[in-house]
Amino acid sequence: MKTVRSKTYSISKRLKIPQNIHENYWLGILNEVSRITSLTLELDKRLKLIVEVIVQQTGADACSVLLMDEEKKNLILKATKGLNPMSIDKIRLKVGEGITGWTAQEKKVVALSDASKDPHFIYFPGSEEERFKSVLSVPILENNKCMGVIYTQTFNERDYTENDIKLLTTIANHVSWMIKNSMLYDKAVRRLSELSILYEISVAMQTTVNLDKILRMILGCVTAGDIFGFNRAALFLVNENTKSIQGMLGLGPDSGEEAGEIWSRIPKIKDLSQWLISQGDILAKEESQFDKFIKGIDIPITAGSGVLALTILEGKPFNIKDARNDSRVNRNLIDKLGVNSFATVPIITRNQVVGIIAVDNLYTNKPITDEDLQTLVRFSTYVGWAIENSRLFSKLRDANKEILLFQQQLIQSERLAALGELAAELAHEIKNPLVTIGGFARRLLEKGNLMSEERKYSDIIINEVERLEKLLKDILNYSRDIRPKFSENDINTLIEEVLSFHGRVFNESGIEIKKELSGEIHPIHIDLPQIRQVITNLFYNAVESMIGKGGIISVKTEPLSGEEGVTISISDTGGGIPSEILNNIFNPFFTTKKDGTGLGLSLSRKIVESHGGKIEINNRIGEGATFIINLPWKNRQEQKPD
Amino acid sequence: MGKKRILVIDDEENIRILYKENLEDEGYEVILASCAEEANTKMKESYPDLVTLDIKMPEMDGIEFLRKLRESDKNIPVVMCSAYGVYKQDFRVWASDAYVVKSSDMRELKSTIKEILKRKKDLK
Repeated sequence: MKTVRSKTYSISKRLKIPQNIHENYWLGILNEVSRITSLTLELDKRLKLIVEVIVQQTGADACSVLLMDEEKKNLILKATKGLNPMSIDKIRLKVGEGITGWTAQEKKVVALSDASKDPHFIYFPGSEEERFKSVLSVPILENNKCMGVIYTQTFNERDYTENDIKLLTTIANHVSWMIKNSMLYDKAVRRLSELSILYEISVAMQTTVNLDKILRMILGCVTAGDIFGFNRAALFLVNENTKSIQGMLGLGPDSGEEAGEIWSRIPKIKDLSQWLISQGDILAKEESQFDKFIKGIDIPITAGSGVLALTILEGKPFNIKDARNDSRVNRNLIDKLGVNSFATVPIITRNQVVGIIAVDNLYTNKPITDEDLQTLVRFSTYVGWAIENSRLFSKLRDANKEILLFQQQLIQSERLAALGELAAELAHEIKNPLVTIGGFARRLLEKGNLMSEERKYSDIIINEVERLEKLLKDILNYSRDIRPKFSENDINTLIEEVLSFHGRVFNESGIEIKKELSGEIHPIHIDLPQIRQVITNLFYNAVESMIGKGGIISVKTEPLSGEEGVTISISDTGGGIPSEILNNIFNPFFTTKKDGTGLGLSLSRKIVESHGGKIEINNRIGEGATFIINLPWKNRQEQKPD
Repeated sequence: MGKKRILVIDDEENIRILYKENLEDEGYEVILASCAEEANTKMKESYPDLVTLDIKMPEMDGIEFLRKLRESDKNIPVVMCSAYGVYKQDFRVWASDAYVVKSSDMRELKSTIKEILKRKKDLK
């Protein structure tokens, strides 16, 4: 107590010093204060230095600074010399409350030699304010707005002079300037950190176009302590087909303990991109209960289905502070999520809402501020871009796959063409030796002096060579360019001709021919030998299907419906084609016949198609098959004979 | 009237032997040439009644030989013999009398030759 008194005394002595010295003393204090304000320390630390200077140099026993909170409703003790330092940040005073509150409200200086007599006087338990007698309270003003209050107190009663008031007011102006700069600086730092966060995020997101990974990274950001620090985050995407919102991913701990454990792992900004990339790689097996719950969500996009739907419909963020008493909220969902406050932000790309980020602070109960929401809105732009990118990529990838498939088909057909040429070449080279082998085998037989075994062997050689020769002939026909040479022909005449030519075969096989040839068919443009081959092939196939049992072959011609031309149908009663081979019958070299080459039907199709027509099969298992050929009157791509 | 003489032109020796044996059995006299040049010599030496001509041969092919032959002799019957059927469409082979796709079954060749020689005889 003694020291305090002597100090007071020494200062009051100082106050009596002559004017010019007094000015130097003032300049000294202000110099000190302005030196402190320009230090690159945190605002709180600088305030602490300032109150210390004031106590040391102005004869006050205590000096404190209270600053206005964000909502401009409360004053919070930020620095003190003389009051209990434990009450920093704890003393909160409503504007208008107490002497300092009145100072802030009225923006006026209050100088009281006995503060306790003032009707505004209140003191805070624990601050030890009761020890003081006089108080000088000065508002910290910026553009006539009160940012806080600085006040000094003395144990002994003191009458404040005009100079005392001027000095503290000048200091208050310095402090005001310092606070303003500090706020600007804080803003700049926050903006910078936001920028570097966004940079790190974009670096991370550029490492992948996998939508799942991107979604994981996005929610990793939203829940990472250094970035947004929300306890839990969920991502929803709009399904355009079903007009609903579907939960894609939920990220967040299932319990408070887990939360602490997870948050301790979250790194500083400079490692962020690496951390995010690792988040993207977390496998689905690690999914939490929350994630499972989110993934099960599927909500129709209608006005009555809750805040998620509203976020999509209105394309704006929602900050729900009291969900249970908010009629817009889907109660069922909130009960399951166990929260009373949450926020949603739309993800927008190209003026279209494609999804939602929803966040809550289930474990810390920290209120979601509008500033949080603004940052999240800015972030959602990047999210939209990343999702769009990923979707475009998968579209591109699908298109690319298709192109690759086409390319492979093209290569395949080119290969087949090359193979065809090779086959033709090979066939020719084989033909001559084959003719010689078969020819001499026949000579052996013709000599007539063979033993029965030698005769049998020669027969085998002759038959096998004949088979090979037939195969070669078919191959040569197949791989040859079969561009048709068109002339006008009557189809009915051609069919009659083929039937009479093979009449003996039908008779021998016990096959009855039924004809139904229309008289309304005009002559059409065809390559006669080729179409003759097709019709012959189809008749022979029909005969083959009825070998040993006989049956009926029905042949019918009629005008082609819809355009000029002809439809030829050839039906058999051979039981039809087994379904397992139906898909293969037009493939080259596919055959079920013992001595067939498998080229008949594929060649027939090739010929019909080169006429601009088509060949189809109507298969009736257990009954028979009908081959239907449609030939246009004139092929549109008809080539002139060369 | 003596035997009809047939000149077989083919670059493959075994084919020549096969044709020779088969045609001799039919009662013809058969002379052989393995290329266009040899064929020219044989034509001058022995005046064949008919020529069988392979198309694919090294140096001068059958179609070119046919063109040259027709410049000096418009009447001698020529039967084109090829492993390919495609040359049938080549108008240059139309200067020949027949086109037979080679086969181990010699019947078509034999009947074709017989037919052509008969036709020629009838015309006389």
